[in-house]
This record gives sequence, C-alpha cells and structure tokens, in this order.
Amino acid sequence: MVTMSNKQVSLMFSGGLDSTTAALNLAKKYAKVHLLTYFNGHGHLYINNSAKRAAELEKIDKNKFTHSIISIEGLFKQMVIDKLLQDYQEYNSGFIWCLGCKMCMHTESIIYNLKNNIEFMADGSSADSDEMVEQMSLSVSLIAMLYEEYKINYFVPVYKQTREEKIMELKKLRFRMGFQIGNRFLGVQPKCIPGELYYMPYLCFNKAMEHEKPLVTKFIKEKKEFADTYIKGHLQNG
Amino acid sequence: MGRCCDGRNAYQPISEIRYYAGFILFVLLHLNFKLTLFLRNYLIKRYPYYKILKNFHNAYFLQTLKEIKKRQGMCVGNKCTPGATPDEE
Repeated sequence: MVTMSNKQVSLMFSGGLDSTTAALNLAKKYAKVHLLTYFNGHGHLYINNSAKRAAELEKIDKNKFTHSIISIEGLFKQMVIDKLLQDYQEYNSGFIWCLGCKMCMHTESIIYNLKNNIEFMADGSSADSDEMVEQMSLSVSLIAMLYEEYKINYFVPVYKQTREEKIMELKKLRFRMGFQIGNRFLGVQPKCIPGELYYMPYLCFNKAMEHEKPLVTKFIKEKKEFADTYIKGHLQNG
Repeated sequence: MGRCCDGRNAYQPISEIRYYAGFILFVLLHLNFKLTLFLRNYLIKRYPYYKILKNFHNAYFLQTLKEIKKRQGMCVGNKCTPGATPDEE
C-alpha cells in the first residue's frame, strides 16, 4: 500500500523554470522525487547544468531528491533516426525530431518506474509553451495513455501555472536564474541544438508552428507501438 | 479560443527589420549546423548517421527557407501572407 511516507514520483528534469518549479511542487506531496535527465547524443549539450540545478534543490530539501542522467542514444537511433527520412516524407515537418525524442524519454521513464516500483510520473509541460509539439494538451493526454497501460499515473503539475508565477517562486527561493533575454533564462539548463533550430522561425518571425492535430496523433500512436515492443523486450531481457 | 497548435505568438506582426535580421540569423545558424555536422563526420571517422542527418537537415532547411522567403505563416509589417491568417475554430 502506498502511503504518504513512501510515495515516490519520477520527474523529467532539465533544470529549467518549469521542471524546477514542478520539482518543488512535488517535494511537498511525495516522500521522494526522482529527477530524470535524458540526452540523446545528437546535439544535447551542457547536460551537467541539470545536475547543478538538482544540487540546488537538494540544498533546500535534503534526502528528498535523487538525480539521474540517462542516455537514450540507442533507443533514439531505433525509434527516430532509423526512420527519419521516411517519417519526414510522411509528416512533412521537423516535429518528428522533437516529439520522437520526447517519446524516447517517456519510454525510458516507464522502464525506470517499473524497475523502481514508482507509480507516479510527472513532467514540467506547460500551457505557456504549447507551441512546442510535446507540450500541446493533445500530446500530453496521448502520452498519459501510454503510461496508463503500465499502471503508472502520469500528470503535469505545473501545466496551468503561469511563467510569471514560476519566475517569482524561484526568485523567492534564490535559485540561479542565469542570463536573462526577454523572459527567457539562458545557461541554467541543457541545450538542444536541433530543437533550437526547429523553433527558431517561431522565435524570430512569430511564424505559426502548424502542428496539425491528426498528424501529431498519428505520430504518437505509431511511436507508442514501437515503445510498447521496446519496453516489453527490455523487461523480458532484464 | 482562436488558435490551436501554432503557438501563442503565432501571427503576431513583426517589423521588416526584424524579418531581415531573423532571416540572416536563421541562415547563419543552419549553415553553422551543417558545417558542424560535416566536421563531426570528418573528425569522427565513419560517423554512422551522417548521411541520414545530412539529408534530413537539407530537406528541412530548404523547405523552411522556402516558407520564410514566402513569409508563409507570419505577418510582416502588418501584412499577412495568403494562408498565414489562422482558421478560426
């Protein structure tokens, strides 16, 4: 039986504004928060920034957080790169890279949770960033279905919290905020170069991202099938 | 709720100056990425994904460049290009 004293949760953690606020939020309700940082080996830089942020969290609440940096390079190759050109022809959008990467992270998170008997999973998705394909409310609800099959409860604790509220909360607790440009803070979390390139037209020109719902749904469902096979194979082989 | 899936700043008007500055930045960063990919392949012999990544990046870069040149999906100087105005839900 899960009680307050032994309730554990995993959190996808970059160390940015959203995931740090989510970690603080979860620390109030769970006995242990597992912070999971992933890298895919293709343009994910400064991964150690998330470790620095995790250390700041540990200073606030000792023994509450554990931080792991996990490679998804092999899975990313199988799930995304091997079908990259084919997928690009089919979906005609660069979102296949970002959403594919996120699906790999969720797949690894399921394996992590199953291995460690953790019933709850969260991430720092936010409605403020719903131009990002993986943070659209549609994607969030489809991803929750992926977890449901494994009896893991997936939720997004700071989805409706505004960016300004998050900034205030972190500043109040004296977290490092990094170098500020506009209302973005640089240098506190890892960088994803392909992601930056993909969202650049939106940032530079306010260009519509055009993430069509039917295509996003189709993509997630297709990758979910692959994820299921991967998880089952992984668990069978120990 | 007028818009879905495009981002909250989508279709917000930008100035001509911002458009040209953004255009230069966009091209420079993509060329830099292309060069980095090439060097990675050159320095790490037999970088196994080079061809796939190169082809993907070329296709993505050229398609996006075409859209940006047509100013598709954006409003520059209060002038929205055909098809750039979002459908109302």
